[in-house]
Amino acid sequence: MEIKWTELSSLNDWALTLKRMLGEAEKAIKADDRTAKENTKKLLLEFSRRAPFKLRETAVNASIDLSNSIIDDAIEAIAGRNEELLKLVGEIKDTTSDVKNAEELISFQVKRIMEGLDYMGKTVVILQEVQKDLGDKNADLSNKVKSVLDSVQQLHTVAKSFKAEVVNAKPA
Amino acid sequence: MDYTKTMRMRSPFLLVGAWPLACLTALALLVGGCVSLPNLQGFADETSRMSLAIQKGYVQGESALARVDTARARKLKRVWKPTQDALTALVAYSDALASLSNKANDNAKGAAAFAGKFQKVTGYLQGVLPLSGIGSGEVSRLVEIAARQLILIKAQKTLSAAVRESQPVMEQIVKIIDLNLAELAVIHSEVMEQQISRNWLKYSGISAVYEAKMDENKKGLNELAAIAKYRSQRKRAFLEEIELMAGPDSTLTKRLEDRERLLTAQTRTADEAIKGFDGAYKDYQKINTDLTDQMTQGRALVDNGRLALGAWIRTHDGLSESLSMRQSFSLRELATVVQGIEQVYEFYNQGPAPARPTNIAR
Repeated sequence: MEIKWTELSSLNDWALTLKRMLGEAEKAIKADDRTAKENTKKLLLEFSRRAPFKLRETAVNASIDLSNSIIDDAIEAIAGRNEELLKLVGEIKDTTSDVKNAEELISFQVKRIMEGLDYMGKTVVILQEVQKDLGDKNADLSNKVKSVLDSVQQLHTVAKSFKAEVVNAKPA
Repeated sequence: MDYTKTMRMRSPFLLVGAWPLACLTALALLVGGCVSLPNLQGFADETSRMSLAIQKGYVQGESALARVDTARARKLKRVWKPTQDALTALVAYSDALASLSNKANDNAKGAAAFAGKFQKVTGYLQGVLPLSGIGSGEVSRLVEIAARQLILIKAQKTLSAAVRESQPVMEQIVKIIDLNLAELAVIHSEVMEQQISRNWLKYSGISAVYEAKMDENKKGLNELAAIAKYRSQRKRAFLEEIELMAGPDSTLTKRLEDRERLLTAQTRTADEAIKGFDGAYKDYQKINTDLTDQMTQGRALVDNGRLALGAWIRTHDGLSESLSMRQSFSLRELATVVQGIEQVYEFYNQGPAPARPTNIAR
């Protein structure tokens, strides 16, 4: 809509122009045309600055109606993206959980290595006893050897799982 | 390994006792070169600051809308929640990365504890078994290296995969938040324009008269000054601009006196009118200035928030590359932009600063 401001002189000229603008505003809202709403709003604001005092209020109020409609469009646009956004946020939350789980896994594995080393210490103590006893108490030997094997087996398990879970593991 | 063969020959238990040593030594050798994890705490801190700053920009927009339309403000708050959740998720994600990196680095530093335990164990073994070919000090050093490297490698693999795989998702999230911030800027701008228009309408009668009277007064005073200059210096050039040249010279003095009287009366009337409107006009100007400042601040906060998001996703991309290439990464761009938002906020909320923030986006 083109307005030749310098050609508007009588109150009637201004009133007719305002009527045309209001028609444009109504059309823009009905068509849900955001660009048309913005353009008509700008014209109405310019009109309100130039027009005779009597017509200013109507022009300002119409511009505010268009402005509210633009705000509604903006709110709707945000709402329209929310479903996709929530889905993406869910994916990031999953990744965050994976990272947290990896952190827990490392702590757990560190704990298991320490335990493994403790088992190994126990193994050595038992070995010392075995060596001491070998000469005269052969009856207990098999039980003690079993304890040794159990302890070492536990260490073996720790080392093996550590290798599998840490060294060869695929990224989380 | 040769030393296991030697041990097997000496005792049937030696093979069993040496196995863990061999296993851990192999692990140490297997992992090979050192890795180091970047300190991600700075990235987490900047993400948190960015989220907070963007949220401040949102609150500014919502509060402005609530002042003119509470129903629409409630609706905006409801639809904005997923955007806020997304920002919170970015913070939680970057915190988790930093926590894993910190934990891995701490555990790696604590690898000496493994070695200590192991040295104790190998000390026992040395007392019991002849461990030829490998000393307890050497074994414990291997254990320390193995433990440290295994922890760091595991963490590095997890971090690298998490950051690399989440980059496309992050790009989409950042794009949506950016679009939502653009809508927020529209909302804030519309609300402020509405208020500026209402304010103008309220004072339009007064301001138009006030400005006309100010103009009239200025012109009258200029003319009086020109007449005074002519009188003191007798140079007709001073009168050219006030168009008193027409007519015979003999009547100039009389014409000047008449003109002076008229102008003095006019400026006195204008002065009185101006004084009468002065309070109302100043109110109008103050409200208008405040609203314009709020509009500028809202726009700057949102625009800088969008810049910060752009810097964040580029930093995240750089982080992905640095983790896979084991290189350092820079936080400088992100930190600068986030600081820019904070400066904008402080500039408008805690009174004028000595200088306007230099990196306000407009």
